[in-house]
Amino acid sequence: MSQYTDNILQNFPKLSFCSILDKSDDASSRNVLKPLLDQPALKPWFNWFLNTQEPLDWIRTKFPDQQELIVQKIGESQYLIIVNEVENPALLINFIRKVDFHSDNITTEKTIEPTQEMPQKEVLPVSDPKLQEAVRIQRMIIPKLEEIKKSFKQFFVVHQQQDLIGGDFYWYKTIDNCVLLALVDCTGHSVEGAMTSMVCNSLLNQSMNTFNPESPKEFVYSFYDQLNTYNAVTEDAFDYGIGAEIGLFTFNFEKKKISFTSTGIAAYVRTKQSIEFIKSKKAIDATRIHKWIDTQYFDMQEVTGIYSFTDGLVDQFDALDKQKLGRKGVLRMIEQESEFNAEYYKGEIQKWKGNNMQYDDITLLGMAI
Amino acid sequence: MNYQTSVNNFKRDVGVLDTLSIYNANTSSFDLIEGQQELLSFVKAMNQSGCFKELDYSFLDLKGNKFLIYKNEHLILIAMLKKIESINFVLLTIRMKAFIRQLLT
Repeated sequence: MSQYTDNILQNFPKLSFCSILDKSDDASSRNVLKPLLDQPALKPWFNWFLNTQEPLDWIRTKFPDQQELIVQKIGESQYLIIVNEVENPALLINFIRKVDFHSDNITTEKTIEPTQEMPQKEVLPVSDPKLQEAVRIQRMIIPKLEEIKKSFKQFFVVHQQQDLIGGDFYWYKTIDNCVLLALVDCTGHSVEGAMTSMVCNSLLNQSMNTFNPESPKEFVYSFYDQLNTYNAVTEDAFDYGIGAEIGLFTFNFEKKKISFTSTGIAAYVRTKQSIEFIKSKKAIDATRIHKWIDTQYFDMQEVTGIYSFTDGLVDQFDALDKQKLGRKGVLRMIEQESEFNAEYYKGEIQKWKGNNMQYDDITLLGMAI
Repeated sequence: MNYQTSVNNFKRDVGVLDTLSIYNANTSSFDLIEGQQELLSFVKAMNQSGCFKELDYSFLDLKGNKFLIYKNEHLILIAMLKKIESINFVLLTIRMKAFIRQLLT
């Protein structure tokens, strides 16, 4: 049976595990699963799977760490076992569903090449005058590039919505000797993302009343408090409201201090010595935001550049629709460029994506300090 | 706690669920069972094996009976689906997660 797993691995080489076991042979099954049995999330599932008499045809289980387990019955007592973390799950499942495990010839043999069958971006028709108006209105919330450039030695932005309008936007304000720059990724994209972005832009503007340069996270709290109030107004208990991830930078030019407060937006900070990835926790539940957001501070004299980006960039699949760019891919781009040139990044993203569709709104900001 | 009214309303709203049962991991028993109890025997065994300790969601096909399982804190929702062809799983996931949060408050 190894030709089947070889074929799957050839097409999805980044699978964590791919094997076939015979459940009627317990010792052999446990041997096959041995590499997985020390993983806390997987172990209980295999213990249950090996002991149960349930007529299992298919399992797809997703764990909180993004790992997923797929079990497919392929014979009387034979099962295909896959553990996946990084491969495109939709493509993988589509692929293994088409494999004929009872044939001498492997039917789904061809490596997937980008073809006309690749998922294509469905773009709203730009000729629609109502949509043109929506595009115009959303552009009004985007700050002028010339204004932002006054605050930094160099600045660039790549702002590529998946559709004509979308849920990513950036926001810029100055107050005294402080510059505030936020990158916001609203839930959804296209029309629903754009509507949410308009609300979030207003809430950010309103939060300016609470801004204290000594405690930037109070500003983010204020934003989410208002967002929660907005969501609570609905009378429909099943309405899950709107949401957004925010990455807020403050640049205090008087105290030479940079802060970064994030609820899911990622960033790289470049110093003369290195480039550091700044982790941030995802805002899964906006009503409990106070519990886990924090602010990180940097000495402005140490930092030479900052790059921040939304999920759409790291989650963008390559031309073969098989691999995400990932934060390492973003790092590779940054390492090879020092001019803060938007055209370079647009070109690199296009090279990565090829003819594949854009899955989400993409925004990448970069600034030299 | 009586969940039946909330479950009925939720099922009516989403439209793709045949049955929706609620298992309580704290008491190792069902707070609500819909449909045939024997079809859900796997839930208790899974809980005893520790399958629900780390779980986002799970989709199971047991001889044509299709189940979606979601967990939040001690509550486990087990939805039996009417048909899967027309289901927007992304939207269903969001609705199920919102519903289970509502049950916990």
